[in-house]
Amino acid sequence: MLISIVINGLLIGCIYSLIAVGLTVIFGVMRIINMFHGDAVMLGMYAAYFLHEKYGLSPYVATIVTAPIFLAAGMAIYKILAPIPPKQREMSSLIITLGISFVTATTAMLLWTADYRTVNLSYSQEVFDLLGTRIGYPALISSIFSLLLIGGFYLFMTKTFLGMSIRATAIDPTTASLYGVNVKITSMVTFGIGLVLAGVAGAVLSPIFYMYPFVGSNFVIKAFTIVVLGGMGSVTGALIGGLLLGVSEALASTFLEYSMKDIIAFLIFLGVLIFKPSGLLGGRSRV
Amino acid sequence: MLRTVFYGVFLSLFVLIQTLYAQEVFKIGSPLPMTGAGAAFGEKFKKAYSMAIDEINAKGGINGKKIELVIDDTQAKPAVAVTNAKKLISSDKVIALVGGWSSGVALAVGPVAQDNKTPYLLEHPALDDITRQGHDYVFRLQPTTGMYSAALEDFLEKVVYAQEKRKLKVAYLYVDNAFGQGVAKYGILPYFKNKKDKFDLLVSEAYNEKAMDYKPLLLKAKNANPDIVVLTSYLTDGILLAKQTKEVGLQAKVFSGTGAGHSMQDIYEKSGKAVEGYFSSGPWHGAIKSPQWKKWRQDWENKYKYVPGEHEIEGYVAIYVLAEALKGVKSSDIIKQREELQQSLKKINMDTIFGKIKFENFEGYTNQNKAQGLTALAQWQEGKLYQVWPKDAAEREFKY
Repeated sequence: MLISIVINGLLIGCIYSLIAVGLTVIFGVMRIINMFHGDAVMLGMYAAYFLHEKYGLSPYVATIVTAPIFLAAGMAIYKILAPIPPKQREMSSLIITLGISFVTATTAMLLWTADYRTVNLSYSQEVFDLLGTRIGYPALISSIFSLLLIGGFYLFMTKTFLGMSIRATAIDPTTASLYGVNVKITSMVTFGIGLVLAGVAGAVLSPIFYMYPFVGSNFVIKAFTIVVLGGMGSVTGALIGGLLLGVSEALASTFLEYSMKDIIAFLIFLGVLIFKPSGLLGGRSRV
Repeated sequence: MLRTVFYGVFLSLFVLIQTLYAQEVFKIGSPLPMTGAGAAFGEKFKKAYSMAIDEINAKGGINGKKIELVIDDTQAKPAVAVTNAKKLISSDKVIALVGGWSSGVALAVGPVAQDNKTPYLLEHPALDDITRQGHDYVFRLQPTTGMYSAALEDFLEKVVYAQEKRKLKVAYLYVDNAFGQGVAKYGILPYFKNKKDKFDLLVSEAYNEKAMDYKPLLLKAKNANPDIVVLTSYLTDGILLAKQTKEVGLQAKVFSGTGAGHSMQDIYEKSGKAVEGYFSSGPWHGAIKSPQWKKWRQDWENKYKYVPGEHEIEGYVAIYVLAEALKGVKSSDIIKQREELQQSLKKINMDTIFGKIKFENFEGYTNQNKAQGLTALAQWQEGKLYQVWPKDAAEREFKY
């Protein structure tokens, strides 16, 4: 049973990580606290849902269609946030993105009603056996897809010029611009990429979770916990933080009294903050 | 001088219009979740109330006055609901409050209604404690959480145990909100404790309704190899639990919910039919064999294009109960009106499409409908929920 529980924890952890990666990039590079992130996940879920219902597209394939839209939307939102002077950025961005979050969720409710929806794939109930652990195909595919995306994103950040520009901007925008990095455009693209990751996370979640217009708030707190746990701005930190949270939640909910479950996750969180205040892989230069 | 006269006339006109208008309608306030996670339910009750109110108003209202509904959005948060209730009572001057959807909200609104001497009629929030506070302005027409599992308990003993003739292993998972705690504390847990000779409750766990992964919990249940799995869930957690139950391969002779999520049509489609064969024990969906019920259901389907369940019938009947009680309201002062309504509700003894309604004080409950026979066990068969137990109220034979 222990193996099954750990495997399950890792699977859900992959998805937690994917949600957190987009957030950590936005926060690490631009010091923008993006409260809209959860709603972007929600929009990703709805996009996957409608593309599946209307055109029979698999949610995983649908991400190709939705990615450019999220990129554009992210860049547009950045345009609103860009004029805020860096010193006030954290507080002001929090309030502005919170506002965008409310407007988005309420508009979603007007357009699509408050009904709960799920994407049911033809192979929704088929099961794969791994070391005696039964794993549903959608859960398995979603987790692998998340891992691949995080891996791909890591390579993008370390190997491409744009990725390196993003990291340079995160470390020191002024110096980066002296080296020929267009900080404005880089920041704008980063925000766009952050939202693309959120949208993709939504698509990946759609076959295994449910959606309604306010579902975003379910993810935001978890994602922020992971971001802080892993170290702000760190992609590998988000991955490790997500997996750690997934596994510790799974273990706690099996072996502990119910009232202890949430305490465990936050004890780990507190421990990390006390002994390593910048997070597990903190420090602005890391990826 | 002229100005004073002008103001005087204006003011008296204003007051006159206000009082005239006030006499025109009975306002009923409802704190409902219109946004947030419970919005889908707020919408159901809004439809149910509106349908009843439209019917009553079309027939000329009560004592010549129309009924008007004022909804205030609680976001399903008890703290917000307290503000909603205070606003509805003091600013909208409603004569009564109705509904609230969740037990948490009703538990918070109850004391506000009591303090302001405004009748509060519950038709869905089921936690027992709400009508156990001695609040004589709080009325509840439907069964309490402790009664939800009555039909299931009866079935388990008379059918499952009678057939198996051995001690049966039970796993119980319940949502950790007011509703779930209520069903557990007043229904399921004491029952299995009393019947230790017949049932062995091996797993009993509360869970968070917003969790994304219930597999660790389900694996724990699977490890106990249960004969019976009982679930107390809302809709979204119920969907995930049903799907993930298949995923981890948890099997049992009987899967049963206790109303709420497991009694909603949504759970069937949205879980990808994973709840086929599940039972659900809870408030029944009305006197389904009566012609009035059949007519109501047809009207509902014609109007809203879906099959109504427990929420819809409860909301609809609540308005009719209030309307019946409003007949006893004669005065024009809102404070007196509320008192008269409370007195009048105390005297209610009516037969509705939901069943007999009479508010009584008994065994620590105040103004609680005894709701005898208002719970039933239903089962998902080929995509529809049919009442299967008790036998005399069954639409279909149970499959087990």
